[in-house]
Amino acid sequence: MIRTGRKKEWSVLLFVVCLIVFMPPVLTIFDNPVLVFGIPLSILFLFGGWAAVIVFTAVGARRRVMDDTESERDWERP
Amino acid sequence: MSGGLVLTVSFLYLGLLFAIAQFVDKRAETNRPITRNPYIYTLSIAVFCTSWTFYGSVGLAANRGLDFLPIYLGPTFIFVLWSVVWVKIIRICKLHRITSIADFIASRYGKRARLGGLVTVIAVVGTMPYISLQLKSIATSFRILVGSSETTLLTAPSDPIFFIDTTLIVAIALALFAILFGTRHIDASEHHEGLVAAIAFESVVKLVAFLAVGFFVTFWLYDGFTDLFSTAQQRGMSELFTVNADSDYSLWMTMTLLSMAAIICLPRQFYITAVENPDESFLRKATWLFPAYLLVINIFVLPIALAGRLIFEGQSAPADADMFMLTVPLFHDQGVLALIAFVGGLSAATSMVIVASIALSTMVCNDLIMPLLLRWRWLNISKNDDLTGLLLTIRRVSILLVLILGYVYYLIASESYSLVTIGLVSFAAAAQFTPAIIGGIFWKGGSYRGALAGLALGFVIWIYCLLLPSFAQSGWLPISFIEQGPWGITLLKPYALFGMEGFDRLTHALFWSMLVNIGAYWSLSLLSQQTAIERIQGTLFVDVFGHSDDEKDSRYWRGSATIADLQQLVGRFVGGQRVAEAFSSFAASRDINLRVSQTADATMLDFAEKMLAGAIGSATARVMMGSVVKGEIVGLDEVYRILDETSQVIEYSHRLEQKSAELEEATTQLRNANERLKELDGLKDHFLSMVSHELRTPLTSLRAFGEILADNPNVPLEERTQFLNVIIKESQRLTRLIDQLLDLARMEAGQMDWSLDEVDMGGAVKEALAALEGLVQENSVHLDIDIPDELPVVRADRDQLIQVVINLVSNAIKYCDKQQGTIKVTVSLEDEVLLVNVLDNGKGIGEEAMGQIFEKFHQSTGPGDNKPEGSGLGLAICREIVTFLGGEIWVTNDSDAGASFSFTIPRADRLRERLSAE
Repeated sequence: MIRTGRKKEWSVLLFVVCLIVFMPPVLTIFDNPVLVFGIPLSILFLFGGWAAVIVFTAVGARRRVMDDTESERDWERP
Repeated sequence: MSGGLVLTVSFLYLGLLFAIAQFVDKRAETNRPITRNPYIYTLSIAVFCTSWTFYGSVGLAANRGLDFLPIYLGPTFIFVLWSVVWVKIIRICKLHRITSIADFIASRYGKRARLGGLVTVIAVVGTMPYISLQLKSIATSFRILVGSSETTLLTAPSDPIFFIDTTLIVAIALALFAILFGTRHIDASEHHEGLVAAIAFESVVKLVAFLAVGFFVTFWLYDGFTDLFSTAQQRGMSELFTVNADSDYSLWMTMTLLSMAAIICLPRQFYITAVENPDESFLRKATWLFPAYLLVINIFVLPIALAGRLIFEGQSAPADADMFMLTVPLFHDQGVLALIAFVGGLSAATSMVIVASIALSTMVCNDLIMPLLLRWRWLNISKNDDLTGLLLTIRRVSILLVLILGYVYYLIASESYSLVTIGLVSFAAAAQFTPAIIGGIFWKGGSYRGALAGLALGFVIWIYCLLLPSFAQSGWLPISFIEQGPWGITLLKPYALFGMEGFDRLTHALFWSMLVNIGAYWSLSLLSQQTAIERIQGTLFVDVFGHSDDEKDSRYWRGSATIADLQQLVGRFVGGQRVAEAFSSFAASRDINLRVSQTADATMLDFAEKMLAGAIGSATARVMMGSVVKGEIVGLDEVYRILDETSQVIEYSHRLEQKSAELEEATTQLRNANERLKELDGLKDHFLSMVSHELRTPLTSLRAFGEILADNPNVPLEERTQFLNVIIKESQRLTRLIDQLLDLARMEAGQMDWSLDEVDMGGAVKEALAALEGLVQENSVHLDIDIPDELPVVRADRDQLIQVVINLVSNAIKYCDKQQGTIKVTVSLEDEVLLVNVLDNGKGIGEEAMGQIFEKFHQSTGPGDNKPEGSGLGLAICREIVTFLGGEIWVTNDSDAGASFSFTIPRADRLRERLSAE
């Protein structure tokens, strides 16, 4: 596995975002039982945010080695 | 529902698990197992979801709303950090053949058995409540399912089956299953493919069962999520839609932190994620698939909890919310669904119990029992040839022990608590490992003493603030222990230690235990000295990526042992046949021939130790290796030298700098020498051509006149005399030139005969000028002489002194103005010396020649043409003489006249004074 520094930085960034989003005080804003589209806002926020974090983790965990070489090849094309 | 049916289904399910494990193991022996892929790996990590998730989350949600979520958000956060934390831990486990979390910590802090033992004790005691939670959930769910009448839905009957407590039967059954399952053979280096596959299967079962109940509740009983939520809102349950309102989120944060720690530090999570990881790259998938699994299994938690609350709201007795998973389907007469839910709960519980007990039994065996046996019954152990049987027995007994301990805790404390409360106590215990692990992989300075003290103190606080109070609440300790503190000391109240009140129990316990744990770990690490092996292990763990390619750094055995010794030692624990195979394949991979009598090299020793560590743990492996290998491990200094990359680099660059400075200096010297050589070479060529010219001119005339005289015997006498005079004069010139050369050579070689005496300078100068009288008149030069009377004498060689003056003045005659040549010779009296100055009115000396004019072979060109005059030795001889006599000689260009040559000779009286003064 080729490990790049970017992957680590992405991980740490995402981790910090998690701490900010899922901890007070940001959490208190959305921690509200009011129904939005019939679903409590707090549930929408927590599960939505959770799903987003999973998606971003998946994006960060892709094998990016191949992509990089391919994009470089694209650059070379006139 | 009949008890027989439920029992049959349960045993069929367990049998299926066993069949899966056997099947996969059999396949794994022949070829690469199909189960080795990232999805199976992810599902096996989902062993995190236990009865706690299956039953407990619903119970918590029914009482406290969204408070159940942090337990799953925390692990997500840690998996977000996969590339920082998990990759590193997994790589370390693979490189060092780590078998458990105790092994990991012991190995990191110098392979010390005591530390491994402490970790094991904490893990076993800490897991106790967790296992009791599983036992409780299985027993309760079984009773509810079997009872299944209107009243049992509310309070499960606790009648014993077959006159034995249900929970004890469950505990023993699970123990037998785990023993059959996990301890079929010894060698932790191989992955337990069958176990992992079975655990993954269980994860699928519990997810499907949970989703089935969730769909039933949400889309069968209600018309989707919106319907359910609005109904609940109308019934005044909207406080369950949020994080528990009466807390200030401190519990939320504590639970998040705890679950973050737990996903790494729970022995079974560590085991399944790191030790059983078949391929590092699987982590790329698992890192988002596992959180996705958690998210999916949590979607229906709140709906089921709400449905349960709505159903049982009007009932007289409060229903056990932890069992809504069963009671909600049963209430709606969905027996099959309830059975599915029961199997789901069973799978959740069994997977946890199996993995946890196997992980713990490995720890108990490798890090607790084996070191003790080695210490106490050393001789017996050493005599016994095959120890695999002993290892298996120890592990089997430990599994049973772990389950019994869980049952004991259940008896003592669990009955009155909800599932989540019990589980969080375990989480808090596991969290004690966090400083030692995280510090261990990121900080080389973390030391054995620090880790030992931190763990011990944190564990003590955990016992005091969480474990003992749970005993007290169950009546096993006086309740006053909680309410007034031990012996009435209010400062020591376990839920308000040192008067800190206002926090929930968990936050309170976590704060104090982490404070002492991290504090002791940190400060003692800084205060204590690391031993060589701690230092090595620290560097190997922290710089695991830097060292993994460079295996030689991990060898620290300096002693010697034969291959046969090693093979026998490892064979006793792993099995002779397997070891022989491993050794020969290792030898083949390194292209060497293996002879049993051969002395094993460092790589071989390292290989043997790691193999041994795979079976019995690193601390024990080290002791065993020490019994075979003669000699010691390397000293601290050597370790610094080998491992300390930083200091190595610094030293290297320092040496490089030194070298480069030396080189630079040498280059400068060389360059100067080269220039000097070139210059000298040029001067020599110049001189040779000049000397040959100078010699050739008189020789030519000598030969010419000689031939004339020889060929013409009739030359008149007058002419003959004239010719002979010319021959004599030219011969004299030749002699003079050769004399000069000889003089200079002698002076330079220090072989000159000096006749030093007190000389009157004025007299010497006058004598020199008198000798030049002819030359002066010939060139019609005006000579201006200024010599004071009464000059002090100097100590010198009179003839050489006269030579100096003659050279300077004849030089001046050569270079002074041809028409109106004026030369001024001055002798003056200075403090220490006599100064003689010869000034001409020529054109002076070119700037470029100024520095070289006293060099031998140097010739100035004459005033009118480019032809050099003189031999180029006169001034060089002057310098040699003056320098020898202790004076100085120099030249300047006079502002309105030509060149001004000066030299000094020390005064004889001053020399005498100085001598007498000394």
